[in-house]
Amino acid sequence: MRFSNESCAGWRWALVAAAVVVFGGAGERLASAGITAVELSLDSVQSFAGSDGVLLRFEGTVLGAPLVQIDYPLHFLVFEQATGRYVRFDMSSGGVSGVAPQLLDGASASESLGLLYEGNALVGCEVVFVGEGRVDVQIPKGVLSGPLEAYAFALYEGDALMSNQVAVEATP
Amino acid sequence: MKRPRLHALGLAVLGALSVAAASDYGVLTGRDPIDPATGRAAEIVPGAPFVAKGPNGWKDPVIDPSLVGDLDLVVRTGLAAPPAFAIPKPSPLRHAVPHAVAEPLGAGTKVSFVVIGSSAHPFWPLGVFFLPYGVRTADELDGRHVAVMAFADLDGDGYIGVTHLDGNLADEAIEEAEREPVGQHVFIGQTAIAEGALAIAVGGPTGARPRIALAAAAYLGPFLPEFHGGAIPVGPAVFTHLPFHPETDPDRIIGGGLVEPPDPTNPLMLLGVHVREGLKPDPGDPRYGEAFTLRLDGSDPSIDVADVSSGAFAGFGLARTPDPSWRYDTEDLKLRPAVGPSGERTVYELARHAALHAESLGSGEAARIVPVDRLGNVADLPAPTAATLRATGWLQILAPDADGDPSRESIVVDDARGVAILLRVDPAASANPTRQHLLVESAGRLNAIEILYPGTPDPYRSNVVARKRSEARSGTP
Repeated sequence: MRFSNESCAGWRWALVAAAVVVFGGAGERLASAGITAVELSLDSVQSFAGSDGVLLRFEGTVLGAPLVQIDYPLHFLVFEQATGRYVRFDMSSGGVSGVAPQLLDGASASESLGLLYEGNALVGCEVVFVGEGRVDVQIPKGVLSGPLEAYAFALYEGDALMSNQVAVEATP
Repeated sequence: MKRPRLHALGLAVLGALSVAAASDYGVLTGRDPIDPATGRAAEIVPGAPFVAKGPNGWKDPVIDPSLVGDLDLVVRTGLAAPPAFAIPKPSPLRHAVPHAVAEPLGAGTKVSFVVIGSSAHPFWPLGVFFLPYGVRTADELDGRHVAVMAFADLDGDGYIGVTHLDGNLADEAIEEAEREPVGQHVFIGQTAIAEGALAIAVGGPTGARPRIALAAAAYLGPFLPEFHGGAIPVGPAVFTHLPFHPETDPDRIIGGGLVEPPDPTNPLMLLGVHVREGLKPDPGDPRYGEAFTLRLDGSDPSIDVADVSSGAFAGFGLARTPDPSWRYDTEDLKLRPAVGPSGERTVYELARHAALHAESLGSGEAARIVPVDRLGNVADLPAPTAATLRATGWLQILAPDADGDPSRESIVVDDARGVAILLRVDPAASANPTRQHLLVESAGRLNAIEILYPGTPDPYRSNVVARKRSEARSGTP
């Protein structure tokens, strides 16, 4: 999709399939091509502590309007920088927690796919908000601590389409 | 058992008639006006004049009121089955307006629809009282992407888009936002129609449920290997009535990405579509006036409607009266139907990044804490609910103030009308960082409302503008 100085943005088809562009870098498929691809990129991830739970706010290109239509296989993964303890939030089915030290040197698509079969169901996770440019989820308090990292990935044709990885900003 | 027999009969009749007058049966026929630039059927919104980009694009469009779009595509909602032959009335005239519920992840109650190619037949032309919407066409939509989109009547005036028909010239900011789709998806045409169900992102609580219009667009014509790899038809594009004239140039739509042909067996491929305006109509323009205004009472022949409730209560949000000087026509859908303090229907801004106005530096800025669903709509509350507010940094809760602490407050919200609050910037505090939060906690639910110092630009809008400029510079899609 090309944009110009004109006011129109166009009638844009977001056809996922072959539009996924393969970028280099450790052989990972990054979901950040043009609008004809599944675009996943995080501008920021913030955490807010409440008395019972922690709100995690993912902002960036996180599918947006299509999440209104379909139960897309989109996952948000937050892990402790020190230990690899993580919470993987599956938008379809809720939260799972576990420990994955392999994430500490940077998450890969294959590692993310492997986590689909690991971890324990985490009660008390829920979707709080879904909208263009933002997804909020709530997880129980005390599951994760210390500095955190986060990324998102979407499943497509057996592969994991990864976002960039960002540090979680703890908000007072 | 009855329906298939009727369907077979209908198709048989269609077949016979189309043999009799092949050139006059179909979505596009010899009666369609021709675009002199392309030599093929002109792409015109039904009931509106011919519009095309001028030498400087959409800044100086070419508008020819002598060419008016006819009925090519029709959307119908709430039908028990697709029409076999004659296209039925819109749902308001059938007293069958469907009801949807807004929830994300496909969990809401969707609006079922059918998109039908409409044809006037020489034996029964449009205008004949018993076939005012035309007859179902044969196969032009088969295997084509059909984009279906919804637009919400945010202000409840019965129209979509900027209009003077409501007698209100001061609500342009709200009506501009009505041109932003509140649900959109791609479907594949089969057996002459495209049918499915569309989820809607914008709903309202009891007393403020918006009516939405469903519209559609598609490319017709053959798939040619030399045209975008045979993934999309060569066109032209056809539409139902829309609240604007859309951009239809495939090079501007598809961009540089690879696109696969329609594949109805892969639902994830049908991720989405985004239809936006090329020409933004001004109802004061004498060349077309209100031709792009969608009417929601059933009198608009090509579109249909549904009423939408908000989803289940999921927390609390911050609502404000819209600022008429602000622009709300963005994809983050800031404006939502609501009920005011006296129970009257109104529209609130439920911004994710709420930039305070200047009055917050002095006497305080009025806002309301309202119950919301998971899509950010004002929601009904199952019962009065207690909530605790907590303000960070320079943000203060000036009212209510039961405890003398401007950083915290406890409230009870009775219903969708919410509770009035007054927010202020602490005059003694530093303005940095310019982003603070109002945290609302209730029965284990936590919501964080981002509050921006007066004058701080909306980061969502800034990001969108920056992305578009970057793409324009790089020439990449």
